[in-house]
This record gives sequence, C-alpha cells and structure tokens, in this order.
Amino acid sequence: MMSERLQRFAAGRRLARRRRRGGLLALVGLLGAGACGDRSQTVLTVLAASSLTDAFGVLERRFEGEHPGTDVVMIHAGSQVLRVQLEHGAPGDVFASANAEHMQAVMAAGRVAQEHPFARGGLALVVPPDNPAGIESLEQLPRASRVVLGVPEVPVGRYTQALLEQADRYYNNHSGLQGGGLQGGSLQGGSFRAQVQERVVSLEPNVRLVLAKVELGEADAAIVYRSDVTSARAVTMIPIPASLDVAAEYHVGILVDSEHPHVARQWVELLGSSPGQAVLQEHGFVSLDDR
Amino acid sequence: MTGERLSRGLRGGLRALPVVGLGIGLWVLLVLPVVALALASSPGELWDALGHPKVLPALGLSLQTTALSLGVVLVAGTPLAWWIARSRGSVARLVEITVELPIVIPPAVIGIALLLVFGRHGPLAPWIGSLVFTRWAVLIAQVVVAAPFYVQSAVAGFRGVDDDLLLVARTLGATSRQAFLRVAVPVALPALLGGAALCWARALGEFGATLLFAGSYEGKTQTMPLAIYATFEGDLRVAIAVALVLLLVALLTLVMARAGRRWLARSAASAGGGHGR
Amino acid sequence: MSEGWRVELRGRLGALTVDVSFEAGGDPTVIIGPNGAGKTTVLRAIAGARTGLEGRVVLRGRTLMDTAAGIFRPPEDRRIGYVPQGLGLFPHLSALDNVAFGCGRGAEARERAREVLRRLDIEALADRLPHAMSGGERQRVALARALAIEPEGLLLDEPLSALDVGKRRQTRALLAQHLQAAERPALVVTHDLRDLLVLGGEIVVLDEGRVAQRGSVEALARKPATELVAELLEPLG
Repeated sequence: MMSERLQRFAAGRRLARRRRRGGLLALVGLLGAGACGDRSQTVLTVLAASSLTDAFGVLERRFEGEHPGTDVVMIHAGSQVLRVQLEHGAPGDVFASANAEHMQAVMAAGRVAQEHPFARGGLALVVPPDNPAGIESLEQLPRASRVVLGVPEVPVGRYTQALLEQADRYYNNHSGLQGGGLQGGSLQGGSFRAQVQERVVSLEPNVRLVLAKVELGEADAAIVYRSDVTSARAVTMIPIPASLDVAAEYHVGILVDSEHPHVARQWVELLGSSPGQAVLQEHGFVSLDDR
Repeated sequence: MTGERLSRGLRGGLRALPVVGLGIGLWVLLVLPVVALALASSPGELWDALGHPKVLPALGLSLQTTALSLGVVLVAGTPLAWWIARSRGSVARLVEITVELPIVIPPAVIGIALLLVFGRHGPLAPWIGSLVFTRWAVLIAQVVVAAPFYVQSAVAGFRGVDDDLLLVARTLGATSRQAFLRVAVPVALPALLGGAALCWARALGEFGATLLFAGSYEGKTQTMPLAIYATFEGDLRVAIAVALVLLLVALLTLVMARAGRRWLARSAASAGGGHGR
Repeated sequence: MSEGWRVELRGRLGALTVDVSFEAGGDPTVIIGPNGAGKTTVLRAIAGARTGLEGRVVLRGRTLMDTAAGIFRPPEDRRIGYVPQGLGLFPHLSALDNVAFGCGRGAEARERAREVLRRLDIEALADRLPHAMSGGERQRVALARALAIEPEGLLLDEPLSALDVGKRRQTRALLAQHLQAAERPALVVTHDLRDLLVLGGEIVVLDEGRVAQRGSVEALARKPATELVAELLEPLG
C-alpha cells in the first residue's frame, strides 16, 4: 500500500523493519538528545509519564551522583504521547508508563521486551488554597461550581471516572447513613456522579493543566494524581478514602535497542531499591508491597 | 548558433539548479506531512471519523467561533491597520510592533496570560466575572492569536494606497471616512482578503491558547484542534482521520476564498462594463 | 484679484524651507521650477492636504485656509479640481464611475458623468478601467473627473508627464483648449517649457521653496531675475 511505502520512506532503512511506523519523531528525538550533555559522558534517556517528573528529578540527581560520567536525560510527557513516539521509533533507554496498557502497546510494537510494575499512584482531590466552595471531603465535590477533570482518554481521566463510579455507588447507598455530606441530601439533584458531571467545565489532556486551573483559582476542585500535588503547588489536597481510591499502576521497561542496557538496568534497579521506593513515597506514590 | 545558445541556456539552467532545488525541497517539506496524513487514512476511516461523536460538535463550534473571531478582527482590525499605516509618529510604530507580538509568543504562554487577565482573580473579574471555560474564552484566544496576521497584511495593503488617490477623493467631495470606504478599502482589498484568509486559518488551527484559557469541553469549548488532541490520547488512527476532516474543511474554505477573490476582482472589472447597457 | 488665486505658504519640509507667495488671475498660471523646488507640495497644500505648511490660500475671494485665523477648510469643502501627478485615477472604477465619484450617488450622478465624458469627447471610454486605457485617454478622464464637480479652480500637477512626445503635443493643445473653455483659474505645474507657450498665461518660477520670478513668458525671457530663470527659459531663445 502507498501509505506504508511513504511511511517507510520517512522512517529510513534503520527503522524500516518496524512495521508501518515512521521515524520522523526519532529524528527529532536524536536532534534533541544530541544537543545536550558532553560527548564523553554516557547519556541515559528516560521517557517517563509526566506525573513522575518530580520524583524522577530527585532520583536523577541521586543516580548521577552515584554514577559519575552518566548524564540522565528526562523526557516527560503524557504516557500516551510517549507511547506513540516510541511506536514511531523515538530513541531512548527506559520507558516508565503511568499504566499497563501503554506499556503493553509499546511491547506489541517490539520496543520493550520485559517490563514490570514499580509503583502505584493514588488519586487526590485538590482545591484552591482559599477553597471557595468549602469542600472538605470527596463527598462534598458537588458543592463546587466548576470542576476540572482529566479527559477519559488519558489514564488520570480514566481512573477518575472509575473513582466517581465507585463513589457514586458508595454515597448513593450510604447517603442516609452519612448525612450532611451532599448538598441537601445526595439524591435531590441526581446521583453523586451525575451531580459532579454537571459541574465539569473542562476535560483536560494532562494533570499539569488540570492543576494549573486549580492553582489559578479558575476551578473550585479537581481530581489529579496524588504524586502531582507537591509542596510547590499552591493547592490544598483533600485525601480520598482509601476504600474508594483507584490506584494507577506504574510500569517500567528497558528499550530493546538501548545503547546502554547496563546503565538502564541500574536505573530500573534504583526504582525497585528501598531508597528509590522511599523517594517515590515521598512524592505521593504507594509502594507495591504496601497494598 | 542555436547549439551555442542551447548550451548557454543549459549552463544557466545548471547554475540555477541548486536554488531551484532548495525551493523544491522546501515545498516538499511543507506538503509531505499533509500527504502523509492523507495517505494514512482510508476513505472508510475518514467517513467513520465524520461520525465520531466528538467531531460534529467540534467542527460546528470551530466554524462558529472562527467566523465570529474573523468578524471581530475585520471590524476592529481594519481601522487599526488604517491608523497604523497612515500615522508617522513613534506611537504608531510602537503599536505596530506590539500588535505583532502575539505572533512570536508561544500560544500556550498567551493562554496563561489570558487566564491572568480574564480569570476569576484577574483585573477585570469585578465587572465581567471569569471568562475561563466559556465560549468567550475560545473567541478571545482566537482573536488574540489570529488578529496580528490580518492587521499585518492590512497595514501593508493600506501602505500601498497612494496618498494622492485619497486627496483626489477628498477634493471630489468625499469625507475622510468616505474616502477610506470608497477608495482605500477597495484598492487594498486583495491584501485585506489575503490577510483575512490567513487570520481565519490561524484561528481555525488555534490550539495552545484555547486549551489553557478555555479548557476543553465537548460542544462548548472543544474546537477541532482540541478534539484531535483528545482523540489522539485514545486512538492515533482516529485522531489522524479527524485531523484530515479539519484539513479538508480548511482547504475547501481557502479554495473558496480564493475563488471568491477572483470573482470579486472580475465582477469589479465588469461592474464598470455593465452600467448603462 | 478676486477672480483668481492668492497663495501665501510657509514652513519647513525636511531640508526644504518653503516661503511662497503669489497671486494668479483667471487665466491658467504655470508653475515651473527644478525638481525639489516644492511645486507638488504647494499644490497639495492648496488642494487641502495636511502638509504642515502654514499661511493663507484664497480662491475667488473665498478663504480656503488661513492658519493665523484658525481657518482650514477640508479638501471636500474647497471646490477644487485636483489632478495629481500620475493622475490618481481610482484603479477599481471605470472611467464613468471615476467621473461620477464627485457627482454624488445614484443614476443621476452617472448621467452627469456621462455628459461630462461626452463634452470631452471620451464617452467611448465610459466602461473601461484605467489600466485598459492609453496615457492620453487616462489624462482626459482625470481632467473630466476634476471638471465634473464644477470646481472654482483647477490644480494640475505635471498633467502631461505620463505621455510620450507625440501624444504630448496633441494633448497639450487639447488641454489648453479645455482650460480656456473651463473659464476657471488653473494652476499647472510643469517642468516642460513647451507647456508654457501653449498654455499661455502667467508663469511662476519656484526655486528652493521660494518664488524666483513671476510674469509673462516674454517678460521673463526679456529680463530674467535670476540665473536659474535665465537657464530655464534659454531654450525659448
């Protein structure tokens, strides 16, 4: 087919064996990677979900300290963006995904041979510091006049929908017992979930955008990854009952064509080590053993 | 004799080859992504994309908001461009430069800036409340990002209007306003229409500022580029097909605008010929 | 001199200091001078352009501007027929519509414009756009347009400069004829001596923003006031 030929042309011979996938993104990646770091150093390129930005930043400094001569380059984007880039031949050494599905896709494309989960991330409710809607628990979310969530096509949006579903079932069954949580009783304005959906003003493609809207006070409440709510963020975090929380499972894998598979393995090992897990926990992630 | 001329022509052609090659290279670079997009989708997928639940609301919203923002830019941008083109002072130069600023500022930064101005805590909030997440926000983002393209083109067009034409129009009894409408605008019309087409196209493709400032909600603030991005998060193939729909709509409109321009020029020419027959 | 022009204009225009003062009668008056003498600027100022020049312009007893008295009539209120250098035809309008521009709106204006075209023997051009006309034809349409508003006075800036030599002689005679027939005071800027002879009337010689000399061709030729005037008139012998 013509499209196949064209894409193969774009991909270049080196990448042609990768079925139907172009390589322009790879070129862009190469230009980017080539530009930073000095040549004598080993450059380890880690493509990681944006929710890992802060935790991996700390781990990067630690790793570089322990491995002189190694420069860790972080490429952060939504997992789905990284997945598409990898499917189209973007170069790198390690891929860390915010869910299993995108990792599976990258494996199906033949870019990763082995992977495993390394952390879980929970969700959190966030409100602006002045909390204009006076929300103190998830149950009071319908008090907000403007709610911003992640779009259901991205992991955080999908988890949020699952969370709302669980909460819906829970609050609608327990509303009589809990009392006072929902504005004037839970069922008056429809179910919990329907009330929340009614107040959603935007479904955004990534967590940072969602957070920004809360920080600027434009949204009264939002649901994001707990790991994204760092101390630097001007928002107030309201914990979600553990029984309702839906955990995102983070997966990591080494790219099959990594130029430094040995260093890459050391990075993956750091994630699993107890110091690594401690850093992840500091940033709102849940260690796998804890659940 | 002819042989000599032929060889000279050939040598000239060879010398021009690198330059021509560069031009062709650029053209290929511009067209190839579009071709790739077109070839990546089958007609069936394109048809399915039209039926995708996100597409029709987004397409409708895009056409509606871009028509409105183009209208705003034309009505407000034309007098502004006229003033810039006609004024000689340093204030006018400053305005001219600042009008073009949004072209160099990344759209996402414009989006943040708009959030600060029109948000709940912005300086205008006491009077107009927050415009974030509303259709107004979509409109404002498009105007800010696209208007410079129209104003720039209109200024160039108005600069091309000979001073004497206007003075003659005035001596013939036209007020300065009439001289503007009956002489300056028709004479600069090709530049105005070219700028308008560019402005509309930019508004249609607007993504970054809208995403930050207006958010993304189906049927309300989710324009076509935002819908493409949202589907891209889920399924790349659908996203490509949806993108192709946008591309076709844009292409159709621009071709129609071009045809309209030619028709206008021809009818202006024959309008003179049609009278009193 | 209530039937003609009274012009006093002063001011700085870049490097040029303008200080022009002259009176002109009912016959066509020719303004001549080297490039950069300020001829076009003076004409534009009389037509009503904001040139930055100050002073007084009176036409047939009507004060068009008097900066000292705070009077400034806008161009549309001066009743002056102005034909700029390059003629200034509206490129998007046919000959008829160009002429009708100053005649108001609607069918009536068109009818009047057609009559003016007829009077100048160019009715055949009515439907043509400027770019589809010859230089001579354009020249006559521009004159027709200026005359169509029945102006109090005419200003022509190098009216023949766009024509080739053959056409120029022919059109010059025609122009002289029309200017006589129009019976309106006219100021004609030119750098072509032959225009002087045919258009007749008085001559104002401008040099570096000042009037070097004023008078009839004969008077100027007989007793040129400056070297420049002598030089300008030399070819006339």
